[in-house]
Amino acid sequence: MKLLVKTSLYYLIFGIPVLLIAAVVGYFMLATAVKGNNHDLLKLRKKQIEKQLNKNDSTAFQSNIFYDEVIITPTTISGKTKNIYSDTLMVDPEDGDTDLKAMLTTIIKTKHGNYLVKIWLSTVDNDELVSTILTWLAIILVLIFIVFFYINWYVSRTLWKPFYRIVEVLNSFRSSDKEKPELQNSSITEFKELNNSVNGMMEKMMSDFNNQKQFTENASHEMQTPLAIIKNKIELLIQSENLSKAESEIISSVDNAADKLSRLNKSLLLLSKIENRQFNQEDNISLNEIIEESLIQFEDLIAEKNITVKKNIRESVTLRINPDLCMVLVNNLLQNAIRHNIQNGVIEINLNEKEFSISNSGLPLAVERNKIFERFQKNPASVESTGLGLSIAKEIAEASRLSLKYHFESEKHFFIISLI
Amino acid sequence: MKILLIEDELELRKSIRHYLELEGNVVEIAIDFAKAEDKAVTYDYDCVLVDITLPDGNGIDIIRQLKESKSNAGIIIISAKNSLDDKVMGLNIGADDYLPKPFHLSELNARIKALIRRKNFSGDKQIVINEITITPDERRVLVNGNEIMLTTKEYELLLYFIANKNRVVTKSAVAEHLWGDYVDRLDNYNFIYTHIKNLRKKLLEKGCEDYITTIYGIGYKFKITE
Repeated sequence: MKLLVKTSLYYLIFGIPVLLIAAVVGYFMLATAVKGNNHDLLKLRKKQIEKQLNKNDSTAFQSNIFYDEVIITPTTISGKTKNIYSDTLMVDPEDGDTDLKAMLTTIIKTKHGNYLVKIWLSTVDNDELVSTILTWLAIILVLIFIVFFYINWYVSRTLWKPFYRIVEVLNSFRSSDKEKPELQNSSITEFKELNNSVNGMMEKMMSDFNNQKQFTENASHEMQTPLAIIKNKIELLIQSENLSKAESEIISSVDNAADKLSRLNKSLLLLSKIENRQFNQEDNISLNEIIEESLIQFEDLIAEKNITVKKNIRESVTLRINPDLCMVLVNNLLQNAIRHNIQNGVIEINLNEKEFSISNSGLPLAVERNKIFERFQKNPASVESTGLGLSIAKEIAEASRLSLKYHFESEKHFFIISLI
Repeated sequence: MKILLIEDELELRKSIRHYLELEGNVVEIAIDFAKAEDKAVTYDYDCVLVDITLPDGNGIDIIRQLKESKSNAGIIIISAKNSLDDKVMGLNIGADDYLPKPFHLSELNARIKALIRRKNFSGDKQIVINEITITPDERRVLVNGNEIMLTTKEYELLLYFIANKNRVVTKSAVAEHLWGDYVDRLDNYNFIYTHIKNLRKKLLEKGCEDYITTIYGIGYKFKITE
């Protein structure tokens, strides 16, 4: 839920009881005011009637328009002239409805005698009052809601803009980015501070990443020459005619280790080059050709494990990608499918306009599933693996704006590249 | 064959020189850009091996100078950079081959020989070793005058062995030669044995002497006395 929606919701939740209390108070205040007003009016009329009664006899004001709403009866009751107010229901002679009337019952003393006087006037009844108040309340609520909605909309467009920009920037930010994304300037102190912290954080991440990358690159380069020396010296050493079997074995182990180191080194260099986006030249590459080529190169490995390769390949699927990276990507996936396959296993290659997938039979994963693309995550049983092949494949996919996903289903490992 | 080796790293220089001299080549050394420039323009070489990262200059410039002076020497770049840009640029300005470090000496040797063979337009187009005759242009192999049919890998293997005859070549060097960059992806070199076994069988069938010997744990040697 958006912050602004949540705020509005709170306003509404707290607003409703406040409005209800206001309605109750309003009702009583209104009722009192109406009552007071009625009493004043009735008293005024009583005075006028008193005046008339003193001036004339009772018949004189029968024709006066005021006095539909009065009953004057001569009475013998004397005593204190107390005003008695009451609410009473009366039938309207014109439409026959029963209406609420405010009534004053009193005794007026004149020189002609005493009169019992009942004066009334139409008033609002409680139901009407309540419904009026509730109606207004509802209107106010709707108005508040509409106003809030517009305020929110306006606020989110202007006030919170820098904040949403930060979120957007952070979502797309990668420490491997070449340039720091621009944040929106704000006059609001909190956002200014947030901008500063986020800027600082991104700069730190980028420089850390660059340092690390630079280190990998330099380290790999610097390692090439000593490695070359080791390998060459081994080659010279084995030319010796009188090596014993034990010596040969030692030399062979050294040679293998040097080979592995060299492989690791090449992979690390390749990774840092991909991260540097040094392979930026793209072409329309036929995936079909790359796959066929790769299969030919691996045919010995495939034959050795007696793996059946099932191909479900649609004609001519092309992809806009760097040719070298595309080859490495396909090779790495195929190599992975062979390496982690079982004897007499199966590899299935699917290629159509939508996706390219390689699946292989094999034992369940030896590494954690969500770490499969991480560097140096490898099956301890696979001695020859550098643990970098899938990381490289993932990096290539990312650099080429493709998604590479893994899943395990019915004893098969699937690597899927979506092509749309 | 006269070879100029331009390499600033002492130990590499020693190893390469040693290996190539075993083949009966004359190897001259240049340890930096200035000396390399001097030698490259003064003398004629059959082959120049250039390390492109030199302390006082770029080996690429030496290749340019060789090309400008219409040198006939075969040029092989040896580089620790293994950068595609360098490779493309080097080949574009006239280098004949590119070998990233680390490399096998036997691979370097085979490349030099293949390069010289390609360059040698006027010379003999055939490789003749005892009863084996190879015509590289046609990829034809004759044993005692009878043609044998070899697969691509077997053929490459035979050429490689002959280029490094009487030298021990490691399994990894053979694998790297046959599978190129793919070698990094091979889990083991067991299947090399299959190709070697088949090649040996085909040679023996036509009465060829058994030249291929296995050096335990390390590799193979094509033992031949001419």
